[in-house]
Amino acid sequence: MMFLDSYLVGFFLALVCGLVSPLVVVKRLSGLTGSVSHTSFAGIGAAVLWGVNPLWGALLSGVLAAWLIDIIQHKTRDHQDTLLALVWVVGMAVGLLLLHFRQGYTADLFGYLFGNILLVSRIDTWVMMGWAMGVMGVMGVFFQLIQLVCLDDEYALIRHVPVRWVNRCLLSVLAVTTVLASKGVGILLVMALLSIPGAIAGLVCRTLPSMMWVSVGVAVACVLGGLWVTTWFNMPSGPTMILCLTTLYGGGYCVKRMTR
Amino acid sequence: MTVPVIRMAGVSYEVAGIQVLQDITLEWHGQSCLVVLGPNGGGKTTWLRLLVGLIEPTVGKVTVLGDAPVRVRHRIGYLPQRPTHLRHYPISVLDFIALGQLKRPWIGIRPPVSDAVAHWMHSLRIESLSTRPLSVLSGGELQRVLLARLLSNQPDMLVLDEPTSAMDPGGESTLFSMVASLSLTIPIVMVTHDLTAIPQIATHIACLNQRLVLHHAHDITTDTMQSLYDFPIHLNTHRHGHDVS
Repeated sequence: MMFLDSYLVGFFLALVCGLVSPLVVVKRLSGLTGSVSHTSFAGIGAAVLWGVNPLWGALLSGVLAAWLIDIIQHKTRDHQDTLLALVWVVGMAVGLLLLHFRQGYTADLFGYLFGNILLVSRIDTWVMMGWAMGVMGVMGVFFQLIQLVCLDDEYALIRHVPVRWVNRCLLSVLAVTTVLASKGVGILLVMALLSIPGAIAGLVCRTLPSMMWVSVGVAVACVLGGLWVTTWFNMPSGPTMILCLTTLYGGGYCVKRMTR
Repeated sequence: MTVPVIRMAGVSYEVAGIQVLQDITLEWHGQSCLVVLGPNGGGKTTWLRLLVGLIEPTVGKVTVLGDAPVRVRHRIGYLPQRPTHLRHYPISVLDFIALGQLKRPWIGIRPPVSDAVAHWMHSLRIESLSTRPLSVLSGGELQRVLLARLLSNQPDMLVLDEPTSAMDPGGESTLFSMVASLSLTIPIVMVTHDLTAIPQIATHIACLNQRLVLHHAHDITTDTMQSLYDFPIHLNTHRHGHDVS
């Protein structure tokens, strides 16, 4: 089948983003995903400069950015918004500078920024499938723990839950998911793929487990549907998927307001 | 000789250059209920947070239940002044209370609902709220839910920061009765601005305004109260205790 790897990567991508998205929405982490995705560009630049696979650079810088943001949020109460924005733009600027120093670099910058799921390889399929299975496994085993820490971290701390460790793990999972998802929809749009499915689920669901089910369903439908439109009408994949999601959210929001 | 429930030795706490607590030394052996009184900004909440190990003193040492607060805080049922959970989190009241019972190894998808949860939901008259989303509760309903969560863990000590601030008179009365009953078996420390609590539940009173002075409840006088709050307060002494006006 044509573009089989693209559809498989899209499916597993939607699965893991759908699982993580409700947590992003509930914990108000959309800004963090944006900072992580843009800072991963610094890792891409460094990796290209040193002749290493850009994915490893992106993963390392993404996870480090997530941890840095966690430290900022714990150490400062004031100016958090400004510091997050700084991480965001500095990461992007460093990446562009490093790529500038790479003489004769002709890699597809557009692909990093906006994604191109049609160009994924069989290895990308295995990586995405492995990551999706891993995230599902961790979520399934430690769901109560994740819920408690996300819901009330001070109470969890008093109950001797290792809150900082759990938060760092969650942020690391979010960072890796953000970087891997950037392959499909690009650095500039990945924030939407990690926020909108959860936001749509939040319109109709009253519990986190039900939000996750709905979010996964919505993400799979829009990613695969957007991919189908992309392949048939020769349109860019990332923006098409995001517009599918946005349209669904807009429609759901309007219906909810009218039926209130 | 019994170990004091609370021991503080020369404890001071300062934040951002502001002295919040100053040179507090006391031993309290946990006889029933310690009510903490004091004006706004006197350091009451800070003092409670030292007891549960959420903050460390700038100077001095705190011991609770014979050990460092950080080591024993899981045995303490702490009700903060303001709720610390995410108000908009999608969860039902029953799941919220049951999730509060989570113990090692913290594995599983849905927490089991223990008999203690059912008992305290009944005692606090919140059974009808079990399927309601947490985000739509009123202030008083939420306080009772938070109490059910911490009481369901069967703590060895209760630390309550203004537990009746959002409750109606009926809820307040229920809570004071419950505290009076519980204080027969576990030590309770309670911050309140409701001076009618004194005759109902207090065996000791800690007057706290940066510095702390510990009294037996029956030793409290009008002068003590007026000096603490810098406001006219009248205590009418009857044969069995105080009334306040």
